[in-house]
Amino acid sequence: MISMKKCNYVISAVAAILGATILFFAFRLGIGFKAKGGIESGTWPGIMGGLLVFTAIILLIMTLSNKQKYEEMQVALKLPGNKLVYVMMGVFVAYCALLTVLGLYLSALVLIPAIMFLLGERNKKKMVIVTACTIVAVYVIFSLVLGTKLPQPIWM
Amino acid sequence: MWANIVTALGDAISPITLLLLLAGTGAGILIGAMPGLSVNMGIALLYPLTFAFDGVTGIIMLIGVYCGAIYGGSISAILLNTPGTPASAATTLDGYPMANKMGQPGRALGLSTMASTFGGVFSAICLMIFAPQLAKVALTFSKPEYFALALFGISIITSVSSGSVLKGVMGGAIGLFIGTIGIDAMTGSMRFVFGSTYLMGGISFIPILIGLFAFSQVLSSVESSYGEKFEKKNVKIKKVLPSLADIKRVFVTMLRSSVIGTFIGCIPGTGGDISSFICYDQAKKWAKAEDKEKFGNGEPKGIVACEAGNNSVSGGAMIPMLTLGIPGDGATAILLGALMVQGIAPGPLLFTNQPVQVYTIFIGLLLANLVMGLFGFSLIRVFSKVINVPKEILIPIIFVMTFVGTYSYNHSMMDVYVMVFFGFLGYFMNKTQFSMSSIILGIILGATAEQNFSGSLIMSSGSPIIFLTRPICLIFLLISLLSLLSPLYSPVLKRIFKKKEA
Repeated sequence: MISMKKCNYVISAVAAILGATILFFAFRLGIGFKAKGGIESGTWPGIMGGLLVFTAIILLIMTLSNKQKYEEMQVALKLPGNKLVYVMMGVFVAYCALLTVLGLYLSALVLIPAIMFLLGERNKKKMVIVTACTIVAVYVIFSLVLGTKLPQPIWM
Repeated sequence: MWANIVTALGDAISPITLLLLLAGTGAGILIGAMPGLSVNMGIALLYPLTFAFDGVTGIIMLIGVYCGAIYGGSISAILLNTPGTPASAATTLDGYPMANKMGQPGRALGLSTMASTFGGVFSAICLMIFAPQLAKVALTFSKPEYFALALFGISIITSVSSGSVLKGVMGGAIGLFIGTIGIDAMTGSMRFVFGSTYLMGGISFIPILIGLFAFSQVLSSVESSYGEKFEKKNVKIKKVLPSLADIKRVFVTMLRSSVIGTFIGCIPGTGGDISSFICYDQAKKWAKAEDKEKFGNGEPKGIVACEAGNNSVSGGAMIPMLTLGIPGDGATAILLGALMVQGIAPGPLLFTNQPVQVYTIFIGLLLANLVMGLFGFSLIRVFSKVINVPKEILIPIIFVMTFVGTYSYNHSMMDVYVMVFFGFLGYFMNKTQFSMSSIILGIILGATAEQNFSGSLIMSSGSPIIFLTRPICLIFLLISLLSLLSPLYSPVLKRIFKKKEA
């Protein structure tokens, strides 16, 4: 568990940096009103950047003034369940690369059993049936019925 | 007008539209019935299927998903004591005791189906009556009013951010910023493109939607499924049709809840969850003294109040969405985006420029609720089986659907990467009390707000006084301000009212 206090510090920092970056690029685009009315391109995003910086500061002040409250609020980020999610995230990053190379159908042949395995499924027959049914369903609905082109292997 | 209605009826009952409506409603009920899958997730997941169809055909399917999922949530609420969607949380109070303590799951599901259908149909009729009238009033609106309306829509971020309002505003600002990426429609200049061809057209709304509402939610399901032991639940459902005695007993409650639900739906930022609890509370207050004690122990009025209340939100929420372009809740925010993608711009002009589409949506909503009732009464035994689908089967299927759905929109791998990125981000944002709906609201309403803000200033030759000299604009700006500041004054008001009650 991590306290909300720490999370809020990180969120404040990230929001402030993001807001400042938006403001920087917005200034380069031009901020302000045009002589004949209307606004410069950077005005609207500039307002958003400013709003992000402002809310980041408010969040920081609120967290600092209610340290006890936010210290007690716990965010589950280090539990075994979270670790499983992080492993799953790694699988998806790898899957994105695999999808580009193998295309959707072949990569799904790897992805579905992998997810099922990570979720604790050990019945191979069930894995094969779920994988086959999903791929067939996707093929029928998207390729045959809707005529959607899905990612193909690089050699096709 | 009648010619438009006849054409719309023809469109709404065409074989393809009907087939999609049936599929959407059925899928919606299944999604709603599975704990962990929300209404928003259902719409986001099935959204890509609509790209293959022009106009409102696909939208009607999404409306089916919307109505079906709200109703479907009651199935697991009654049978498992676990609401399938937040809107059905109040249904557990009397639904579960009736199904378990009293051993009448069929009666509970029948009452829930009847009330859901009644509430949905009632709100659809209200939509048909009130939306055109409101649109007529809104026809006088110009750029300053549209800007004020968009700002009002954005201000409901404070209501949809249940965890932290400040983080809701942050999310809204991020959404509004994302909406500015790409070519500026007013000046034609490139903003935040950094030489990328992909960014020139702006970041598409669909990958972000699927990432935030579907992918991140399934990641949360992965977390909650860790160490969870699957237990199969066998439920025998007998006699689903409500008896005449039950109908007589609950009719007034059902009607009252439908009125309340439709009204609550009209208020942007509310939703089925708030409506069902208010309707439950009202049903209890209006009940006879001897019936009041039965609430919480399987009282039929308790079930119908919640279900009529949450389903009648659907039509109510569509009134501001279609007439003013302001979504009533998270689900209608997604529907609003879906309409925009199909080239249908919600707002007062929609009723003048695309009347056939409007009437098709009206008829579609009415049919979706009727189909939902038909499915509920005839196939409830089949739908109740989905509560037994283990997560290790469900989760991989949804993950694959998110990838397929995202890619099928633009046939772009970049969209897939964006979806995965926002999915990961959404997972952490959910944990730290951010609201996903506020980001989506920012993306959807950002362009409208900016363009009308700039347009208003052109109208007034650069004078911002224009926003204060137009009464309707000023009223909406004041409401927006009140809405944005509500987290500051509402605790004070609550304290004052509590003191008065004491």
